[in-house]
Amino acid sequence: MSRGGQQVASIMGTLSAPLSVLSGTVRRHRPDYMIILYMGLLMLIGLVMIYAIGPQRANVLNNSYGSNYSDTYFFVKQAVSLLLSLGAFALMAVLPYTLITKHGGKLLLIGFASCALLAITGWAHLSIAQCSLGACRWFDLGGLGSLQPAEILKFGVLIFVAGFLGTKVAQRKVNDLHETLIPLAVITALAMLFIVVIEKDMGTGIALASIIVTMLIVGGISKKIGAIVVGAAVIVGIGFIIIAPHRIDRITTFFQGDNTSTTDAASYQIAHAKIAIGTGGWTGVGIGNSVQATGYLPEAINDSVFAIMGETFGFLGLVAILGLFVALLMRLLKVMDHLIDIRLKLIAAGVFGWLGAHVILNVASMIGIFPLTGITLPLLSFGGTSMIFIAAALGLIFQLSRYTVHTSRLKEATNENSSSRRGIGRPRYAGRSSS
Amino acid sequence: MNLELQKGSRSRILAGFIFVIVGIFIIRLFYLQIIQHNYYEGLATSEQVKSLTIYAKRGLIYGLEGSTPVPLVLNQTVYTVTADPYTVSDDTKIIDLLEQVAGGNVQPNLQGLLGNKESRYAVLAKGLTTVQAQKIKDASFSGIELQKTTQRVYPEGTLAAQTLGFVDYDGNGQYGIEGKLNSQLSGTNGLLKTVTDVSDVPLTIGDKNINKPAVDGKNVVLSIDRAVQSHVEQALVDGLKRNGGDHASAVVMDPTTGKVLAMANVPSFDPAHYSKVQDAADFNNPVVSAPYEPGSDMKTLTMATGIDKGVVTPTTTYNNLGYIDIDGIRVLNGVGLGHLGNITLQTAMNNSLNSGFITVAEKLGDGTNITLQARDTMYDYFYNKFKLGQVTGIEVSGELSGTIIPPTDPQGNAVRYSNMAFGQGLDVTMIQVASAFSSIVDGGLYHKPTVIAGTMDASGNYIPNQISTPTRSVSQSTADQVREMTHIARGTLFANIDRPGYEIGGKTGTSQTLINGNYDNNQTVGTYLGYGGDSSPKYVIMIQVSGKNKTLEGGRDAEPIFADISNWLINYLQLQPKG
Amino acid sequence: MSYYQRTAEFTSRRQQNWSRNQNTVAFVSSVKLGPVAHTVLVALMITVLGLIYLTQATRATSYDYQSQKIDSQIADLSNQKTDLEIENARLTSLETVKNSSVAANLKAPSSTQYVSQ
Repeated sequence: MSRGGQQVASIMGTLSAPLSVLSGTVRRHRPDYMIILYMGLLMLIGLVMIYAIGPQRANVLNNSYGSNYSDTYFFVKQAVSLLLSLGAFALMAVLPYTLITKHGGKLLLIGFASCALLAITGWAHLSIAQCSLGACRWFDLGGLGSLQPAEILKFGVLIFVAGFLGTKVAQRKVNDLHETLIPLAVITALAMLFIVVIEKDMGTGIALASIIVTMLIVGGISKKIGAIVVGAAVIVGIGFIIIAPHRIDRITTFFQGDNTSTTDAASYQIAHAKIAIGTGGWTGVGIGNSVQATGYLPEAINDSVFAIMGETFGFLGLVAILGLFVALLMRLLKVMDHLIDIRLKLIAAGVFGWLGAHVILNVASMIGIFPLTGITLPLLSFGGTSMIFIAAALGLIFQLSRYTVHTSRLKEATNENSSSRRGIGRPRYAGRSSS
Repeated sequence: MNLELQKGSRSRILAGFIFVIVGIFIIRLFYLQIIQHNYYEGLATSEQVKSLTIYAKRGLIYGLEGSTPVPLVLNQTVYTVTADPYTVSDDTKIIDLLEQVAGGNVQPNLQGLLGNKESRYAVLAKGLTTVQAQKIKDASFSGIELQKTTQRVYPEGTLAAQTLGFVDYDGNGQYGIEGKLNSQLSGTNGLLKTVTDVSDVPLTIGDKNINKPAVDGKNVVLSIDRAVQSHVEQALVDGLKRNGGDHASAVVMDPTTGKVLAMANVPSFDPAHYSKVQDAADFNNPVVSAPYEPGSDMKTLTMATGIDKGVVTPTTTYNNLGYIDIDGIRVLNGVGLGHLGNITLQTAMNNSLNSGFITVAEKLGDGTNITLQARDTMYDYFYNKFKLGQVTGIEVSGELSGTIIPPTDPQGNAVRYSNMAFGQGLDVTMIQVASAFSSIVDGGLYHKPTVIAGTMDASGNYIPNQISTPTRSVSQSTADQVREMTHIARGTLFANIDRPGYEIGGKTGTSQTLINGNYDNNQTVGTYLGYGGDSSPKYVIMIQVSGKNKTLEGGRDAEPIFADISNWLINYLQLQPKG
Repeated sequence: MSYYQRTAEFTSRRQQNWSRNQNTVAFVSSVKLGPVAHTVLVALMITVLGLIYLTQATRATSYDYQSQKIDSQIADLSNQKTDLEIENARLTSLETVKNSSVAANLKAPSSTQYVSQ
């Protein structure tokens, strides 16, 4: 039997086992430390960027609003978020994952509740809700910073749908309309109601949709139904766009092509993002020499940080950063692939979709091949909530990576003839790690 | 990196999806960053690099008071209030504040200007001081902006207006010193071309930034003495009131250096409000720019020519017939002057008898005719030695040269030169005559007249100029004799006016004006040209009064002004009486 | 060779030095870090060095804003100075002095005499 065939057989075998036994069948091993490496590198690069452009952002705000931010304010805040994220990562890495997967439903309800709370406090114009342009997206917790309930909702949806869908896949009912698709559609619709309609956050809506679609893909949905689902999602998406006039504006400015007009806010941001990226050249202008960050490019420290990095580090730098993201995503795929429990697989798939959607949407809008969606770049943007939740999700995957099953490629393990030393390599001692 | 993704599992689809999309990103990034790099750099430069002209400060003009510089023309920062009526909302509040703060400087019809909501630009008030502008800025109304400009300010009011000139709206000096020394006063503007941030704060990023500082204009110190100028201007005004003339001019010089202590004209104008002047002729400085027929003042120069050539002395006699015939033309002395018969040239000088000086001109020739040799001599002295008929090069704009017709010209015949002997038939300016006379007063040394005493550097140190080397017009003894002749001439007519113990001399002049080619006896210009001093001459004063259809005489109308200024100058210069 | 317990910590370089009488023992510290920990440490050290470099590189931009403030202060002060100079010139001008109360109380001398020493 080929190696691949062996693997599939073992997975199918375990699937037929009772679910309650699944978590106990795989022995814990050393987790995948490369996740920490990539995540850490990205966070450090983000920190360096904030250190470089923080003073300029402070100056811009001081000059236009008369506020009094010191030069290191943003750097300190980002460092604090970094430490909090590492804490969240560590927490999720040591907290037994069964605790989280068992309470998926409760997490979802907490997510919905917090979104509803935000909506109500927003209607009542309480000061705890931070609203702009008629949509409330943040809780303003004063000294503790701000909290975005949409992130809680995303996390809750991820855990719950992973469990729910996992169960359905195990029961071979993933393609069933009534059992699977309609409940899924209901949950999605409810979540979208809060996120896209009430909070008017299309970007987060797309991210949520891509989480669910990724999970469906990994869950083994049939191609036909998958196409129908994707088609329906696209139609709903277009519907959301048509309802909101500012989104139509963004689409039209996007389709006007490479314009550098400075009249409306969206095209101004895209135009300056492209100028920032374009002036980078091969190696960029150097740290601290970014001019766009001094106030020309809006949202320089959160949404547009990719463009600023393009200006600072150039083409080679951006390729390196994209490479880091791809490496992290591939690591997630590898973990996902080697997990046996379908629910855990789906959690990994969800996190993959989350991270991937954010990266793709942000970078695409910065380089002008997709309209602006106001979505942050994970781990690099300034902003506590997003970083903490991504770190928490990655921490969960880090823990799950302890339970992956790997077939050994050693000749000895696959019963091949190992009398010749060819392909065996160096002697392996106990205690030495393998990778 | 060993991914070990399962074959046939959906993860490979996902991985492939990611790689394809990131590949598209990288291609797009390559396009943006490498291929279109120059395009975006151009866009960035055009947006971020701002060119600011650093304006040079116009040089200040000082005068002297004794030997201390005093400021005559300074620069002041003033503000213009402009509005964008389209965005202005608090019309009445703005109008109230403006009228309260800067009432005199607002434009008329503010309501109308602000009410026209179609327009995007309206000037509401000009010439606000810094304090007033700060009040407007503090109120911070939307749509109101303050623009900074500099303008010239004159702490001494209208003093020496025509000598100073003014600066027009475009920053160019006009008339006077401002016009003539415009390039020295303007300096050179500098340039600041740098990468800036959104609020135009210059940044040190980038290596192509230019910071060329401005070169400020030089500060000049004029030789014009503030107190003398003021007294002279007042004396002219008083004089015109007495004699009823329309125009008066005066110039006061230091004969030993050629420095002009005062140069005044009435009527004058207010340089702070130059745009309100109706008649542009008021900007002119007749002392340098109005050539006229000098009349009897010239007799001193003719006498000097004769003595220097050795053909006459002050005691030379001749027969005064009351007229002389030249080439069939009868040239008369002045009406009713008398002294017929044999008289000395000194008497001719005292009583301003034309015949005496025509005689000098004849004696320069063959004794009876004004030969070509005589005319050549006269032309040589007048033009080359006394520098009449040429611009003196004094540092104010608008100087004219006047005309002396050379003997080679068909017009330069004996009749003309006979007229020139007593100061008609040639056009010269007051400054030329005064400078020529100063050379006689100073022992025959001609100093180029100048109105600049030195410069003031940026830290306020006064650096006097070098005194220019003089040229010799006549010999020392000639000059002394002619000077003594004027001293005696004044003594016979005006002895009691002067303070005792000082040597003061001078010559009257009454010249007819040419109207439509004919000499008109109904309009005469009165002049008095004289000097004064203690043990040596210290000042030369020349006065001119004239009026339309007025017959103004040197002795009656111009001399009192001379005496006024001369007596005052003795006190001011603290001259001690002789003996 | 699996029947003995490792007692002392040493690494054998036997495989590299097959010739005789070569000292093939080296002592190794008891603190072991795996390769990932090594990588993380190196990354941290590089970041720290990078931050130190940054501290100096980005100082310049914040100085720009300070120098802008100082420049505008200088401009304001020199404006004030010229305004004061103009005021001074006005106050000491002939017109002001002539019309001042001090001048009104001065009398013109009827005669001046000089005394020679």
